[in-house]
Amino acid sequence: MKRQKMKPLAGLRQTYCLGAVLALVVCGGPTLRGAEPQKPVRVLILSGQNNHDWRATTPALKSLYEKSGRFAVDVSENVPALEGKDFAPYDVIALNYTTYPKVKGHRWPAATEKAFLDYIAAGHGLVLFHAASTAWNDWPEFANLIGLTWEMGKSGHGQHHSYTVRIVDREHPVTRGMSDFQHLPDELYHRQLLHATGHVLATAYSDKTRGGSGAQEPMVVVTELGRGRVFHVAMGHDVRSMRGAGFQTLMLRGTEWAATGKVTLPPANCVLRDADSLLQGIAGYRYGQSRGGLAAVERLVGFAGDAASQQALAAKLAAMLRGKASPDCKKFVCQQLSLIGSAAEVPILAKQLADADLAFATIAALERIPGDEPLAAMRGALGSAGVKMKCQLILSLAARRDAQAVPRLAEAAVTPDRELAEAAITALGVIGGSQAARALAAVETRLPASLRPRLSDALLRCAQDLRATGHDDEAAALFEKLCDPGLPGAVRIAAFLGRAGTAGGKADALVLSALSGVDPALRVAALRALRADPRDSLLGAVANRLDSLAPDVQIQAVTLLQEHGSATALAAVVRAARGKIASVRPAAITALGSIGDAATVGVLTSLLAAGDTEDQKLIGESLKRLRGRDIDTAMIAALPAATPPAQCELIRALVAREAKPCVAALLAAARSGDAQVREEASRGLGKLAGGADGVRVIELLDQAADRSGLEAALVAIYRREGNAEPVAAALAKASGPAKASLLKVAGSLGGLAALAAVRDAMKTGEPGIRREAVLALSNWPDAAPLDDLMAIAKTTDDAACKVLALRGVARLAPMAGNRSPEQIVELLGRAAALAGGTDALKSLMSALGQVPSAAGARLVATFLDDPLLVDEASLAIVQIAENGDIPNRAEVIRALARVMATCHSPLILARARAVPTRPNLARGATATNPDGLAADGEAGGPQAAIDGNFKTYWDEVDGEKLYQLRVEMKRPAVVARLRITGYRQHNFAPRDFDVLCDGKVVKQVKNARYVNNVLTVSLPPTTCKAIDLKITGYYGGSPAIRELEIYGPEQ
Amino acid sequence: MKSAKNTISRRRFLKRASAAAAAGVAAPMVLPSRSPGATAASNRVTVAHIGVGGQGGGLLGGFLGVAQGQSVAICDAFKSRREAAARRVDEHYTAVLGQGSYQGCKLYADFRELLARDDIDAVVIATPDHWHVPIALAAVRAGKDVYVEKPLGISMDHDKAMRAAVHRQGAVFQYGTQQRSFSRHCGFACELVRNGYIGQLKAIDVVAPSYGAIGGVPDPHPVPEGLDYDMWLGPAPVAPYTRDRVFGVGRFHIYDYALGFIAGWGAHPLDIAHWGYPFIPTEYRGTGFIPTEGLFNTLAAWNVEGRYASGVELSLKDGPDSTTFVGSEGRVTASRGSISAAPASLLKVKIKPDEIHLLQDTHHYRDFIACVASRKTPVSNIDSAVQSDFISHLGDIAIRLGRTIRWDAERETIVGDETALRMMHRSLRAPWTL
Repeated sequence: MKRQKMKPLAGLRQTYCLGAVLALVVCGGPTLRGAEPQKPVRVLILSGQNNHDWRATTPALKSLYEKSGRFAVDVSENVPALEGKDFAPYDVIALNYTTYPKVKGHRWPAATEKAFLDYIAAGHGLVLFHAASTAWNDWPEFANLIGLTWEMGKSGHGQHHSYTVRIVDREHPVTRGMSDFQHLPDELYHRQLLHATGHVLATAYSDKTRGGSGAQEPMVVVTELGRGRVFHVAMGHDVRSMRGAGFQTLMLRGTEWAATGKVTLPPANCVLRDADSLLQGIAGYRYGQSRGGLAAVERLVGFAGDAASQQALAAKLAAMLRGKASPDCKKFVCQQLSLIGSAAEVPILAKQLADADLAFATIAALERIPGDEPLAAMRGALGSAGVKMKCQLILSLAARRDAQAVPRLAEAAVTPDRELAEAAITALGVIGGSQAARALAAVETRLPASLRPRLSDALLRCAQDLRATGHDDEAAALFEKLCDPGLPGAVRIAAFLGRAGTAGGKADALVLSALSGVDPALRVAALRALRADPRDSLLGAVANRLDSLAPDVQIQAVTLLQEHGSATALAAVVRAARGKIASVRPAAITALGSIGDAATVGVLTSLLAAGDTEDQKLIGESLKRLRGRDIDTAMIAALPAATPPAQCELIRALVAREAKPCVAALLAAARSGDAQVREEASRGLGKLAGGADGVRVIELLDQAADRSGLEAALVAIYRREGNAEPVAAALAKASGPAKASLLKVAGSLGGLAALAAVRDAMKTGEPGIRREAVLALSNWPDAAPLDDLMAIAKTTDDAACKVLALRGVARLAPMAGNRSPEQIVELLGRAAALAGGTDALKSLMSALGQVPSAAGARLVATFLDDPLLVDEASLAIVQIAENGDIPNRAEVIRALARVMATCHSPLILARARAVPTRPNLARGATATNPDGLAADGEAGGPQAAIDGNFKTYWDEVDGEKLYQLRVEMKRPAVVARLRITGYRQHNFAPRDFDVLCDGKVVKQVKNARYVNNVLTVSLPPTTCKAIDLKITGYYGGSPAIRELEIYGPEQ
Repeated sequence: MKSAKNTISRRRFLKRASAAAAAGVAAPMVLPSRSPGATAASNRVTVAHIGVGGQGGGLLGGFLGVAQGQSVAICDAFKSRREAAARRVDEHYTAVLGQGSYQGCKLYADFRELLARDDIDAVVIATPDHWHVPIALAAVRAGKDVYVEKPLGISMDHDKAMRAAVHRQGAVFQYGTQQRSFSRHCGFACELVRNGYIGQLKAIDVVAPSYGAIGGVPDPHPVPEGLDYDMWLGPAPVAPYTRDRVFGVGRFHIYDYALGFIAGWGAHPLDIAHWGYPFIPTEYRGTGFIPTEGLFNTLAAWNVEGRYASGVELSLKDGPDSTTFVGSEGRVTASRGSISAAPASLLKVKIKPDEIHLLQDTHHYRDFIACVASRKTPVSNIDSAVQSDFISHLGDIAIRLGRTIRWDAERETIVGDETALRMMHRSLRAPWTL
């Protein structure tokens, strides 16, 4: 289309005419190269109303477009009067218009709106920025079109500040080739509504401390409608912020893209273009003010990734040092120059050394800038500097290993000024190398005695540096001198280590000689050298002369031989283990566990015979640890001939090693004449035996002694097997003591097979066996024999059996999970009726105490009048009463009152009085942990806090900021009081927490003080179903709760 | 072992001292004569504590509980803290002796005097972060073994200098990453990884908490009585004294003294990451938030991605602390208080005797003291400490510069980025040096 002079458009009050297209390029980057002259993109800026300064911003925008050479721009200041035909001449509309704050009720006529949308969809563009997102807020299609809209009452912005814009889509034509940039101070819009049509190209983090949202906010959004494109930028509050290079790049490229679908304009160098503005912003910075401006410059420095940008930016920073910036600003500038400064900035920094306030910051910059120029500057400043400054310069030059400073340092080392001399000597050490070493040696004799230690430290460092840089010969000579006995131990040790490291082929001899020598410090050093470089040749040599070394050296040597698995040293270590020096034996014995072989078994076994009890434990440990072939076999073979104590250790070791083949030997050992051995063997069989061997163990029962050990073993074996039939079968065939033992075993194992066998044993056999059978039934792991025991109690005429049976009933009844509390109470009642004496009755009382039943309490109460049973009965009633979740509680409370009247035991009475007369509403409730934290250690989950068992507790991982426990009762209730039992008194318990009823805070507790680990919290009576504890402070590492009890108001 | 003749058993040693005490002499403990560094395995190890504030005070309590050690000296820039700590030590040994009154703990305002003593074997260092390495270096060069709180150094150069000094002296060094001893979960998780139970390692996800990192009031105050502020600042640049700089959590979140919790807390889960997979990433990129208002100016939030030379990926984020190892056949997550794994059966694995075992002692301080005597290497050694600290630094640099940072693990230097390279170095205020 031909370029034409625009006629004044009808209906517009003012029109800006299209001027000549200027060919200036605004961006710092290259102009279009090689392209044919393009037709300018025709832009119509909609302006004329805005709560922002459109009278300045529209011309600024127009100027931006025109200076790029890519656009021809018209402006309309009467947006409401526009009609569809007005858009047609343009490629893209730029919106700098809004009726904010009256964002609703100012829409175009429907025809115009349709025309506008059709215009876009036909392949044209729309670009808008900043407040334009508030325009036509009640036009839904427009909202979708611009992708990001202002929400009245929700969207906003914090302080004006410089922030980083991050490109999140680097593939889009507009942002391809763009980097993240630091935007000039501007408003950062937050909480705008991003529509599904909007695709985000760039974001910025909205800092809460600057009044923002704390979230990543979209800054650039694009949408497409039909064949049209929309480009939306959230930045650009005023002319100043619109100068930002990144903003301008986005607007130019975005507009080009919106209009044409392609981008030809290059991105600007956002670092250099905005640097002056951002630097100006910090010129007056003072400590204590917001560091927002400083942070912006730091980002800039980070964005200056290439050498050219860095040099240019460094130059600008240096210019600030020459100018009138505040001291605190200059310190900051020095920090930045330390990162990107170069030789070019050294002169201004050198001049600045004279400013005492800035001295350290200046030197810190010089210390980081590479090359000799900064060093020369620091050297140059030495002459006129005061003592403190000289010291700093010296140490900073040293940090740079500046060899050229050495002569000056050598001079300074012998000045009378103590501080300076110290700094100089230390500096020479830090610099290291030959020259510094020679300088130190040269001044040695001229130093006062008090400085000699510092000198040797410095010489040592030089020697170490020489070694590190490969000058072994020179280092070695220095190290040798530094081993002189007159020097401090620490120096000699390090020097010896250095010698050993630079002695080449002579190192082994050197270390060995020191190891065997008389100088304790060198012995220590030699051991360290050995540890630092435990080469085989050296270790072998050490092993060979182990016996001749001093005891404390032997100990460490043996430990090293152990750590390096030196099997060749085995013989020497064995000798040490057998040796006369008591202090060495433990280390040697321990080492044998690591490096020994099958033959070592014999060594260790014979050592056991020597009988030193301290050594014995270590021998046992070593036997357990021995690795390699045939160790187990060797131990098994050694068993028969070993002494009883040795046999015990061997068995323990074999068991620890899980050496199943030893079972045969254990079976033999179980018949040993020595009681300890038999015991150990039984234990071992319990751990290892299985299958057919189990029967062999059963057969052992025919011997008289050590039955309890064998019984325990059999229980362990058959629990592991999960099948008690062999025991049952053996039981049927057995007689006498063996039968008694098997009955015990059966009783511990439980199960149907065992039960059948025990029942059989009841029927036949003599009284002794019958009693054992009853005992077995009463020890059963579950309540299966309950009815058997009742029947026995009823029918037997053996008084002892009767008592045993009743005791058994008492023990098993509370375990009867498939019977209701009432059924259990009824059974116990029948048992009580059968009971002849108080013994059995006591057990039955105790059993009743564990059953949560009012009928049980009633039954127990009948025994309160018996002086022999009053305590047991009282306790039982108290236990029932403490159990909160019982229907018919009133009856229990009545029984409790009777207890108070009849019982005399102070302890029981105290407990009775402490029983809350109201029910604990937490019983039967459900507890959860909305905090989602994991349980810690052995703690149970949240339910453990309300299970009525003070042994179990709720506890979660340590150190969190918020813990939450929620208890939901079965029914809503009035709550008025909480009792919290922590883990321990002020040790792992809640300290600061809120109590919530159905989500509303009813009480805040701070610095809770517990009494005997119990905390009572009274609440305003509140009806609710769920109680939450939100805990933010606690004693110990986390707020554990053994029990949380919830009570209603006092009646 | 048979006690008595060649070694002083604890009972005997204390009996001697209590005799002196009973004689009414409130004398310092006279230690049996010995040659430098030549503590036999049974001998008492003398310990000095430098820095007895919050963490240091806790360590003091912990070390007093280690029978083989004896705390003999306290140093702190705060007079009230060092006095309180010394009192605590004296009360402890008085109770141990059961009679008389022990007053043997000495106080120092200047750590150089403390280090000049021949009769101190080991030093526990719990000063603010910027002092960790300069003091530990001086201690090691003075022949002492060191327990150094995490994080390690305020710059990567600090870390390297520390490592060199420890090796050159053959010193015993324990890093304050106590999870390796006190938490069975962490060791077990790392053993699962090292022994291949999660298959081939694919990723490590590290999370470290951030709190207290925003705020701080910068208004200058007069320096309180009893604080040697210049000594407190030490090698850090001079800055106006203000309460929030020195008390509370301030010193952990001010860049002159610390990197912030990406190191201060990050050291713990990163240490576990390194224990399970002893390498560090060679590439780092990340984003984060550094406050601009108030006094604190270190990372308050961080999100770092790293890639190891092997292709394994690292993520380092802020949140409740944990280290997760993700492998081709499972994953395990450990923190000091808990462990979880998928499949859950991993938690039931019993590491075999001839597989890699990592746990050394269940008590981190006792491990250190025992190693001082035996010269073995403690469980949190210097080489591992340096590497895990490097990760914090490289992450911090990557975030601050907004660029991908590449690390040459062989030459231990940042490559291809001159600015980042310079950030490996920090100047020290005279008279302090590395």
